Amino acid sequence: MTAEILGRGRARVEGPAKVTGAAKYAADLHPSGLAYGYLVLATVGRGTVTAVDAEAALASPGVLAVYSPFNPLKLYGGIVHSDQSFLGQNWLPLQDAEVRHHGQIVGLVVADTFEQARRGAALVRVVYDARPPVADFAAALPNAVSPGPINGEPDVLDLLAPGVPSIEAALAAAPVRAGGTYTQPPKNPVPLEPHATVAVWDQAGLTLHLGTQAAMPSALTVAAALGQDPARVRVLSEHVGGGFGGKLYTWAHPLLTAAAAQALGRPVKTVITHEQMFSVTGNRTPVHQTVELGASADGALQAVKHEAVSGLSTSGLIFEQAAHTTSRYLYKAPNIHVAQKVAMLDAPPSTWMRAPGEEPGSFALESAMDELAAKLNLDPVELRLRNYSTVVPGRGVPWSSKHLDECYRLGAARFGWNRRAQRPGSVREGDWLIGYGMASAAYPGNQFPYTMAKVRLRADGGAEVSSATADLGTGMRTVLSSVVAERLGLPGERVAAVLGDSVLPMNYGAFASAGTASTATAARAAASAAVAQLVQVAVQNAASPFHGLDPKDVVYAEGRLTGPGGLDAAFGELLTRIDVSGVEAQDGSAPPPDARNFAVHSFGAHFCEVRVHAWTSEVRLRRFTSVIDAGRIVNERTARSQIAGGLVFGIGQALFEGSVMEPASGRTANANLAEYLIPVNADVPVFDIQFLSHPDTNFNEFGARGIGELGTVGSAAAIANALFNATGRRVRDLPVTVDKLFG
Amino acid sequence: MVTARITVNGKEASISPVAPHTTALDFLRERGLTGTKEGCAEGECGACSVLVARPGVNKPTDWVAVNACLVPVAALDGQEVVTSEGLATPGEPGTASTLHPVQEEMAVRGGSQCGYCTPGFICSMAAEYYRPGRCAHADSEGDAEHGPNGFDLHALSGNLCRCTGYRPIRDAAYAVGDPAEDDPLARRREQAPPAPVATEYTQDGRTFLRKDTLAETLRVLSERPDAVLVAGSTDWGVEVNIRSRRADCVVALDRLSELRELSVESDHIEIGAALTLTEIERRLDGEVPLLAELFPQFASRLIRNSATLGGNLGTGSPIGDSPPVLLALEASVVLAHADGEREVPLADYFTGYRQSVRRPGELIRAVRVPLPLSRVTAFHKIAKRRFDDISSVAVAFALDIEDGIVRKARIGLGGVAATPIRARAAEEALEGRPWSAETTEAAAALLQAEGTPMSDHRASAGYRSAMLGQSLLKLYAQTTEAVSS
Ligand SMILES: Cc1cc2nc3c(=O)[nH]c(=O)nc-3n(C[C@H](O)[C@H](O)[C@H](O)COP(=O)(O)OP(=O)(O)OC[C@H]3O[C@@H](n4cnc5c(N)ncnc54)[C@H](O)[C@@H]3O)c2cc1C
Ligand code: FES
Ligand code: FES
Repeated sequence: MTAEILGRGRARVEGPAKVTGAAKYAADLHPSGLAYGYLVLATVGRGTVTAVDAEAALASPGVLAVYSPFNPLKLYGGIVHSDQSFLGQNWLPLQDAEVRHHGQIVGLVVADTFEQARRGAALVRVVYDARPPVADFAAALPNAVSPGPINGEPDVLDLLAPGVPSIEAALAAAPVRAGGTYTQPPKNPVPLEPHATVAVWDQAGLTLHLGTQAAMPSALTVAAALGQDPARVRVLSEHVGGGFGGKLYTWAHPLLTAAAAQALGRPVKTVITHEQMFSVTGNRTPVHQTVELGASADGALQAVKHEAVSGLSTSGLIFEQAAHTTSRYLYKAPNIHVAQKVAMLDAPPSTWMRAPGEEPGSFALESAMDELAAKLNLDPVELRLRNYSTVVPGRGVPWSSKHLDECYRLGAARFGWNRRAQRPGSVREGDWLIGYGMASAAYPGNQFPYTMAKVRLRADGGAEVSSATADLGTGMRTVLSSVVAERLGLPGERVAAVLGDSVLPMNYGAFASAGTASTATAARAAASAAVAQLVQVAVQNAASPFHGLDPKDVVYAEGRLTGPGGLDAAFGELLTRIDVSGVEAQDGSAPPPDARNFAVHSFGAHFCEVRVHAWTSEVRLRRFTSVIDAGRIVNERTARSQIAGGLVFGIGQALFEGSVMEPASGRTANANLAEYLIPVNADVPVFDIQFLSHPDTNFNEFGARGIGELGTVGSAAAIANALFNATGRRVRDLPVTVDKLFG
Repeated sequence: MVTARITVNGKEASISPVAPHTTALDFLRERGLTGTKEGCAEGECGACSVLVARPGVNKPTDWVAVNACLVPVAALDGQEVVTSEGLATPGEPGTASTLHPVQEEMAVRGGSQCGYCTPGFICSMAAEYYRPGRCAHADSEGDAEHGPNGFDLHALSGNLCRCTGYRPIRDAAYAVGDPAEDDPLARRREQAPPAPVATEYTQDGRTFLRKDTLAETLRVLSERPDAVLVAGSTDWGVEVNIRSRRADCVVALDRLSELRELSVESDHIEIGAALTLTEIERRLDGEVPLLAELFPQFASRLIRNSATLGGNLGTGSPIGDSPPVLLALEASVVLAHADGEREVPLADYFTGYRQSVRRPGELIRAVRVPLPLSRVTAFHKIAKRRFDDISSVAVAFALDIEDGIVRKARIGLGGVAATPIRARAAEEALEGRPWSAETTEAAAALLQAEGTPMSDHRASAGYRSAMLGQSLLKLYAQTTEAVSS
């Protein structure tokens, strides 16, 4: 039975609720007395709000209030620089008249209906003293500055062999060199569910329904901003319609919505539009990278130089750390130089988005490796194997578990890599040019400290596991239910998983691919603790047949307690008999392994086949093979979906996605699903996704590392490399639109 | 005021007191049917897909999936709608409901991750599940666009998913079998579709009008020149949601029988302006190859289930996809007015950016395509994404080649000028000349110089121009390949 619960089989537990439309997302809630909020956004890229004329809006039917910098809702600024904060930007809305970027919140209109609120918002007249924004990334590059240390290492890091004066000297000494400048635009996570908030106040305080990846940190952030005792703020996020980083931090609109609901004494719902999402919530920053590789004639890397400049919003907070997260460790080379700068932009807040750092970094490094392979006339897989790293360069520590070489070999075999033509542009079928490409993937194995879970054994014979994390579609409910069911020896359907509520046991939330490693290990520990608690109750309760026994003599297995003399009871029967509704226990995840002993990454290799139309340069992806080394796979079905979803992000990165920021105004010109293109069904090729199964017990008892972001790392490079193989054209500027390939 | 009524998941309800522009999506959600989601409110994502019973092509009634975010609920007066909630069979109180076969496959095969796109996919998939004749196309292999169960993948072209990578959804789609004998929705197909209902729905001074006949409609138009015409509402719905446009009077054309005829005469084919593109596609069934080539590239199945030719021409958009094709086919439009009808060649119809010869009070009743058709035709739409994307440029060719000589050449272009245009210089460079590499190269050079395409983030002007020429060279290569093979 347990073999079925874990590993291959189990379908998502909340699947039936989702396919019947029964699953409720924040915007689906409709408490009585509900009023609606609609945001007013700045129409200039930088400046000051000098006046707000709300008269017409206030006179418009149904409008209850118009909040603006001149009629603000009080928010407490202490949260802005608090390290407890999950606030997505470095300022609070409406607390001053400053406009920091185009599309920033400058007002909130609340009305009886959504329609009235939107109409009211359209009637608000905002007067600006506008200044030109710094919104042109290319023009801002020369002014880029140091961001300070990255992951505890200097932003400019040189790991040079003894006697080598500089990376330039090492490059100059290398007989073969390759590389170039790689660029990509800003992006938005674009979850399909628009961000939504419903704020309801009662005597107990605030209940905030919020689509978030991190319920508990959101609750703390909202409480601090509203000046509330954290015990009076509860965040619920039962179902979340995708996040990809965009729903990790708390943005400005839930704060205003909650404050407005308090001020008006009515529940308020604010659902932001897709267009607003591009400026009110966070984006992945644009990145400009240069990579230079130097190798000896046999392909051994002599020097790796990777410098990245990322945009960083003046509103904060996050920038892509492209070189330190990739070239820093991926290949063994005697000389490595990684450097990171940031170019400040008056842009919407920058945030984490799926595989932050690795997404751009792997595109640049893995493209450059392909260029080097072409110069050396060497097979790209062979080049990678020749430069395989077994210890972290400069630190000498090994990986907790690394089987990337097996990924390359198995992937190549499954894909039929040996049929690849080394000479670009040489394979044609009818009107189509065919190309093969590959790239490596690596993403850190993260595990949060202090993650807690609770397991309750109920008198009805079922069990419940709970933790304050979220299921964004990652399959977390299913994973937790399965892990606990396995530990308890129960059928999966008897173990309910409860998440998405900030009052549940401590959990940072669902991000950084750390969910399984953190929450599943906590849940497993909590299950063991609950069993211990059950045994204690069994021997202590006077009505129990086990009463008075030494706990050591009572054994739990497969849902039953047994003891000397043939004592035997299912735990549900026992609890019913002694009239106890349930026993429960909490426990936490083990601390992550000591970084001094191990580096922890998940690995993978992607292989892809593309076809490019000989007349029009239109691109079709034909198939992908991805071999993944992520330790033990807890549920292969949901894991495969995670990788496939990650690959599609890579396809988006390679071929479609990018926000277009107008340099003069700082406005995002394509802030909607019609213009910001994400891949559709027909763009998606056949996926052959394979998992190696090497449990990583150096990392955790469970042996599982994360996989949520791995599919996104390297997949764009694999596509770009295949496009080169098909056409002989190397496009280093993403996305690769047809016009860049043509001619 | 006559109130409008709609049947949702088998239960009838009045739509009062919502405003006439209220979308079906908002109406359903306000009634607590929140399974139907709003992702974009502009027809792009399909999260709002619902099933509507419509006049069928091969059976009396078809279940058709449409974007609920675009269609005004008043337009569904007298109609039957099914949502994801209505597909499952409710269990006895306290027990779980029985999933619909499509829901079952989606749940079991991991077709739902975050689940936000799921109800929309379920409805689009269910529509294809119930498509009559689907299984007739079944073959155990399937092909690139069809499952072994005959499932046409295009049915899902209007639904976006950001989580699953689409493959599990495709697996689910390809696994569904035949509807059971006693499946109520399958049986519903055998009965007559809901009849069109005359509607006069007024709320807060704004009116939604649907008349029984063309004559009455034209009378309204002459009395109310401010009235906005709506057919499939795929353009109008975006105007309402995204650009907050409101009209005091909206007049529905979509069920007027005079605008829904398709007839093949000896010298022309007449296509009613209010037939949906899906209906035209299925009823012509490849008879006009150039149109058959157009349809799969036009938006998505969800949009095509509502969009009409009248609407595509009615907006006068320079990037509409049907004008280049219809120009190449030398089509004309039949304009109806209370004073009478006239026929205008499409080439004379557009007069400027979003402007045409259509007078106030006049509507497009039909499109006429003269017969016989030219033999060599091709449509080429350059877009960034394969489906569900608007054109950067579009070009349609219709050529008569006899004994190696181009007797007639008609080339329609979209996206290169303020209006759709004919590429007259290139046509002239082809006509009367041998269909040869030399001729096509000369004509391609002229074609490339046609109009003034723009550069934007979709594609550069240079690429767009180049593509015009390339598409002719490609057509030449294809025809000669076909001859030599
Ligand atoms: C997501 C999406 C994708 C799209 N993709 C494409 C695409 O790929 N290619 C493309 O060409 N278009 C595309 N469109 C635009 C639109 O779908 C088409 O223009 C469609 O043909 C409009 O038809 P309709 O019946 O829905 O028009 P409606 O919205 O009902 O009407 C549009 C306009 O036409 C007028 N009108 C309608 N019928 C008539 C008539 N009989 N006589 C006179 N005027 C009339 C109306 O007054 C109105 O102003 C897309 C739209 C969306 C939302
Ligand atoms: S809500 Fe996106 S298509 Fe209707
Ligand atoms: S499952 Fe999340 S968008 Fe499809």
